[in-house]
Amino acid sequence: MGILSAIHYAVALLRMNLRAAFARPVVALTTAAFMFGNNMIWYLVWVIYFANFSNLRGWVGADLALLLGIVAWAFGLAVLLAGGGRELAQAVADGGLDVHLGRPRHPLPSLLANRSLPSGLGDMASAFVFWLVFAGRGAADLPFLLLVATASSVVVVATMVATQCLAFWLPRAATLCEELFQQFLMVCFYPQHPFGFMARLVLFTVFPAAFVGLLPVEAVRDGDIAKALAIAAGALVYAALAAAIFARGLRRYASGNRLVEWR
Amino acid sequence: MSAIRVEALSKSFRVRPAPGRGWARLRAALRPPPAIVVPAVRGVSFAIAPGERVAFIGPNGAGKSTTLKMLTGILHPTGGHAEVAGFVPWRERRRLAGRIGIVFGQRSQLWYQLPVRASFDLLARIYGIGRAAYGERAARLAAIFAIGDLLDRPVSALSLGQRLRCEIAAALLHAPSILLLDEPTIGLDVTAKAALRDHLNALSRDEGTTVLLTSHDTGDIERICERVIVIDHGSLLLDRPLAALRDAYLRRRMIVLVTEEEHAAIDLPGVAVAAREPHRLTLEVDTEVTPIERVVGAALTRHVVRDLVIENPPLEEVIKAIYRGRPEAAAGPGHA
Amino acid sequence: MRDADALHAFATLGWRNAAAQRAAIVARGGLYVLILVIWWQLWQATPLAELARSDVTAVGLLWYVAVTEWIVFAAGMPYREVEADIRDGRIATALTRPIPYGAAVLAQWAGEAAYRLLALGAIGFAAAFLLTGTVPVAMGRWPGIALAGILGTAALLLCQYAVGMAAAWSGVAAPLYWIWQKLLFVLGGLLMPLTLYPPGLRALADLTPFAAMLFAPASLAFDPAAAIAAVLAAQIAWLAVLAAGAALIDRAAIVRLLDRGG
Repeated sequence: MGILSAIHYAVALLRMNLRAAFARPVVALTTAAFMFGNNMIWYLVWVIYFANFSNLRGWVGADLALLLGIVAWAFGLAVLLAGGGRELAQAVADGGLDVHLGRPRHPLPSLLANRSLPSGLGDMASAFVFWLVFAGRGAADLPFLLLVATASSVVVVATMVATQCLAFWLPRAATLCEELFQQFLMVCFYPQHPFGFMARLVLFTVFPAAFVGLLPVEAVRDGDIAKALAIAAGALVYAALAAAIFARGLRRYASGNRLVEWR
Repeated sequence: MSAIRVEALSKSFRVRPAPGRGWARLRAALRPPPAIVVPAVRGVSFAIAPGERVAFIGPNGAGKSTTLKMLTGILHPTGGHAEVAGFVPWRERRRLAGRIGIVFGQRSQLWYQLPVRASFDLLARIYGIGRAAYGERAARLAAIFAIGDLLDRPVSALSLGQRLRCEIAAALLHAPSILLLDEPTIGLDVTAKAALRDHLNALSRDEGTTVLLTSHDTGDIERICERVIVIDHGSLLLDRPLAALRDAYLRRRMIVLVTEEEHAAIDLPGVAVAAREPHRLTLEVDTEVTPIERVVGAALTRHVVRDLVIENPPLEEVIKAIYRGRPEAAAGPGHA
Repeated sequence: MRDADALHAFATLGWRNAAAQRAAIVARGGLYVLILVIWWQLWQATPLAELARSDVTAVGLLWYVAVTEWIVFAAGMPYREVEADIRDGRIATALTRPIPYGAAVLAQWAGEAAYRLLALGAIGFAAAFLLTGTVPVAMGRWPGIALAGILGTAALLLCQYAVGMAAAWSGVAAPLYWIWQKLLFVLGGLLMPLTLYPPGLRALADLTPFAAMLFAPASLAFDPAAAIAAVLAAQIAWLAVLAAGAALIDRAAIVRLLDRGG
């Protein structure tokens, strides 16, 4: 199967995914609207903060809005197109992986695209409000913003896959996987620049929230191409890493030993 | 050449004992106790010719799903050899996937909220089926499985039997020469099972597809397959044509009669009383001696029958009988 | 008497249920600690000197968040159980029992929340102490803070019960819950004391019960001058209002469910 077939396949997966998300359009749009409102109210906290304080170690309200927009876009896109990643641990635990393994394709894309959360659309819509209204950016900034935030989204998906892959080694770890991902999400939603060296070391390596929060904001604010390239490189590295971890896990899955351990 | 050839295939799992609670658990995490090797499949060998329909049966935990997973390449064996459609499954899983169709009875590959056709479209992409070939193929399968009018309904609106037919058609879109079905009949009612049998018969007649299905229900076997492989505790217990198995192990039936009369009795050769309660009589019938219709007929003329159930001997009884080598004991009591 | 005995049994069941789900406690505790770590970093990076008042410190603000998050994490999202009971029709069985459904549910939640208050309280206290290196409140005030935290949690549970019962009308309670939760976070002062709010928003918050749920108990740990008795009195008054409201919603919802045949 050639490149053309692979592209056809990817397009079909995405289409399917969106169709499923909007199979009940009213429910989907309501969910998206709630997520949008949710993000707006969350911003109120920062409005109150900056009503009291001129800056947060150099960051002003516009920087925060930039951050929230980038994170909302990254997460929204991730759960809209790769929402199945959140159920990977479950699929490992209950054998749902088998269906995908019985196909002549790499199982990861179809696993990721297996589910789509329409709330992601609300996140993505709120990103534009954060950028254009609260951060005071213009339409001319959008291409760069979208590029950077989409690269961040790849890091989000990679982290999702990597944390969920824990289930290959730790049976019944679905709660733990979800918790780790929640923590990742939480760190992303806060400014990371006041963190100390050790914390930053963690955020740039094993818990790559810096590629979703810190770096993108600095790249956009300072128009720093080098930082944007660093995010892109991070996206590639973490995607490769996640795929490698998944492949390792799959080998273990194929040995069957994890299925019965610690019963 | 065989469609499926299995030689001395075996699989063991390494299991660690449960770590207990509290400190014991922590200690076990730091210094795990030695793993115990538990064999799941022990040296199973068989060959299936193209076009054969084979039932792979055994009680829960017998090793049938493990074997099936090894045949699809999802699970790697500990020892032995297997070839499916000319491929070694665990070495060439993805190439093999294009030649086999798999249906996991409990796992759908159809998208729940969308019309069946949408899932078919996606599968056509997954398997790289050309547009023209796909249209032709879908129409053909729709005819074989009588799902033409289901294709535009959302999967969520289908009955279990309808959904299973769509699942099987979905697994056959890429025209595999081998169809593997893992516990396809769980939850199906008698009518749906009968329909499934007819469709699978049509499939093997029209396309010569090799079918291997697993089940733990003796009822499925006679309805769908022509050959039966019985597996228990990971070992192959029996491999013979259905007719032979039927004569040897499935000739006995249980009939439960619920009668208006408090005490009922049927005196016919080959009919023994397995259990007797007020208004309820359980008979064990040797169908070689007296056909089941005659027993039912006699019951209806002699008693006012409020309910009547005919049952196959449970699989456990068949297996016990195979172990004992005494086919006659196949329909022993134990389920009345 | 028999009712009290049954409710006690429900509460015990709830306690055991929460104690059995250790993974859930670890997960919540992890998030709780992480949020404290994050806010400790943020408050330390905040130019607090810009405030007109000088008594606001990073230490105080961190302990404030430790108390509000303690209450939120201990309450959890039990409204989902009521929602599921209504959706699956299980509530019909519960309504045939001699104990009122709402009383039984709240008793069970009380048991669960009690366990989580204790477990997460220990975790949060330890984390806040390790981060700040000090306990800014006199030891004598902690029983009062704990009591205010318990009352705040009770108010949260009453609200969640009412939110869950809304499923009797719409079939789902989740959207209502998310709105309620965001109002709680903002008007309750989850992350920042209401004293830092702009006057208009502050006045609005004071008119709602949300301030009594999170801000009031946490202010006891943040503001040494805050009077415990006044906080507790306001909380009890709001609890009475909330209980009456929940009872009204409960009755209306059950009438509707019985009307539709469960």
